[in-house]
Amino acid sequence: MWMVGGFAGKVLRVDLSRGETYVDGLNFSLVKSLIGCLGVASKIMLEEVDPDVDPLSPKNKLIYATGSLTGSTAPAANKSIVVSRSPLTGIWGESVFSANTGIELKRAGYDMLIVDGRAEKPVYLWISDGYVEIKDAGGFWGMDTFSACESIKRDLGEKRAAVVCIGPAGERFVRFASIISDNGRAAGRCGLGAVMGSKNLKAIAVKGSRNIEVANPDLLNEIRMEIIEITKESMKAFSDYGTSRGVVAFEEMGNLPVKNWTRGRFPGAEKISGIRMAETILAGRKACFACHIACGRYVKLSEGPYAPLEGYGPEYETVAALGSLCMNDNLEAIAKANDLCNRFGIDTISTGATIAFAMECYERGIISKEDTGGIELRWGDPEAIIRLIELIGRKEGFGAILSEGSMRAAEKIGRNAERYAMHVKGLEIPMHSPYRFKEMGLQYAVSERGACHLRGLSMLPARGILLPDLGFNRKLDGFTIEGKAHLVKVMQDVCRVVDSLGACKFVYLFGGVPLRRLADLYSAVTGWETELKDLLRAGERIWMLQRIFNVRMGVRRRDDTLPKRFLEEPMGDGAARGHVVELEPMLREYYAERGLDEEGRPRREKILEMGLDFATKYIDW
Amino acid sequence: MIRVKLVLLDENLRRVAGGNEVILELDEGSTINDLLKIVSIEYGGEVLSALLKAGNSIMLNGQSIEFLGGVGTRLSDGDRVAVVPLVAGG
Repeated sequence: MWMVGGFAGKVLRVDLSRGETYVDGLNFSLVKSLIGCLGVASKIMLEEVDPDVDPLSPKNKLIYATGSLTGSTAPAANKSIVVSRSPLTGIWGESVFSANTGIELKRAGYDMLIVDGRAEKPVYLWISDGYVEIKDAGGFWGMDTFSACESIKRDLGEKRAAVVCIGPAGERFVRFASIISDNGRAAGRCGLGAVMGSKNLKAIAVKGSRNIEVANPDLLNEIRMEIIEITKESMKAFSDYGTSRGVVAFEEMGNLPVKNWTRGRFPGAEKISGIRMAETILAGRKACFACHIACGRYVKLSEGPYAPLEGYGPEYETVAALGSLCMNDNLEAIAKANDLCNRFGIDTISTGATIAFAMECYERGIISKEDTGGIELRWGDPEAIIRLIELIGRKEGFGAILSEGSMRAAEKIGRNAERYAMHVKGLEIPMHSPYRFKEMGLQYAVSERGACHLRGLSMLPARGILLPDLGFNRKLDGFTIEGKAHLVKVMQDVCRVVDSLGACKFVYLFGGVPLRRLADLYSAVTGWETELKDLLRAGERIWMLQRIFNVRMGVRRRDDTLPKRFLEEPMGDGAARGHVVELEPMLREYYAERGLDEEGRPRREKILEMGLDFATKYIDW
Repeated sequence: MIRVKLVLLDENLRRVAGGNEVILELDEGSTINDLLKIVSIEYGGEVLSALLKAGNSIMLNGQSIEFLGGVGTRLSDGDRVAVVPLVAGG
């Protein structure tokens, strides 16, 4: 077989309805044109998932892919990419996380796992080198995620196996159910845990023993040392204080969401920040595979109402979603809420955003204690937040309504509640303010998976984090809209590249690494001489395939929008006071940048120009 | 006289300055530059150097001063001047 460095060369397919497994070869000419399995997965989704496939039906696919550099020892190249049609949004569903399962999968000989069908009863997958078995998971069904991961390892007698699994929420099809790894990372967004649940698939356990060969190990090592040298100082604050160090600075600059996006100032910001965490409940730091930064937190509560608790701590998005967004300034309660979300297996962003939505509905009298089952949903009440998480995770009482996500919950509640549901295409807004960084407004409106901060990170140049290799060599003004369409387009493309390579966006985009070195790393691992412009071109192709998928699923210009609050209600206070998001002019410019027609559909000539001829058969416009 | 709050969001700077925020009294019509001079006089060159460290951003009421009038930006009573580190968070 023609082999390429960094890849295993095989795709494992599992049909749970038939109980059968197959192995395909990886199509390397496709991999080369799309720089890895994310693009290949995009093509497979186009080919194999039609618009009439319900996301929770056996016909939906769950693709578990690895990054091109994943496991190669390139710094912080450790990502797994999970892809499916999302039950939360009905469109492109994807979540990227640092599960060790991806590294083990590649070591076991597979770049990608594609799961089809639905098992008759709960099962888990056991993959060990060339051996694949669909095993009974009846004994683990109902277990929380961390208990299930450990129990499955014991069941296998394999301490070294890497496991990802769903919790009770995924089993019950909570639409924002996550997939959790045994190393405490979450594929949180888009409800991919519910897709696993719909397939009766509790977990995937993998152990591999082969080396991941790279084309030029000396060059890889040289670049690796250079990147570590650059980032160990520039990213030190992430090591010391984690990603939630940003809470106070973000509040100051008007980026922190407060009270379901109605406020910009939050007096409790200091109390929930990563600095306070380091001074109080932090018990250790956690690094993902091959990462020298270790921004992951490990917390311990020995006393107080939420003790005892010891485990993975909250990162920035979680601290803001379950903290300031709900007006909660109790860090210990946030740690507890985070732990509960991870154990039930629900996305902390969608959870916090849906609870904030419910709190606003309660404050406005749209819902009452009669609707909530007696819970008073007062802003900032940690007990109410924790109670709702338990109800959502078990899909009980009022939690059953919220477990549908804010968009569907608002439809069920009625009485104009949709005005307060803060989502795009069904995916709840993450924790960076589009009032403060207008580019984030455009990015949320057009992102592949609904409101996503990570598919773009377009606010970086306005935060002074410059990317000269992309042409962003001076600080931009986040309050203006000029040039933002181009900015969002380029940043989306580079994020598609970083995701496809399985690299960490913090290390490669925040830390001052010249991006051309990412191309050098890719060349060193694969042996394919590649420049940054080639990677970006491939990133654009990947974005385009996913756009075509979304248009096939019905996405049009009317969907590329923001909650009315951002468009019509000026921010009340803080640095962004008085601002709204002027979306329309940015959107028009963006469509032109992307080669989309007035309805947001990719133009045929653009698809051909990008060398995606095969994709034209999926366009009927 | 006007009163301006100086907010320090960089941990090293906080250590050097011995606190998170301070109220400074300045003459009417003072600029960011005048504020920096007062910091230098009252807290010493070490604090000023830490404050002006490459990567730190000076913000007036949440907006970077590059997009206002730079260090010549005039201050008003009740303003907040914040020093924000480059890689503030995730």
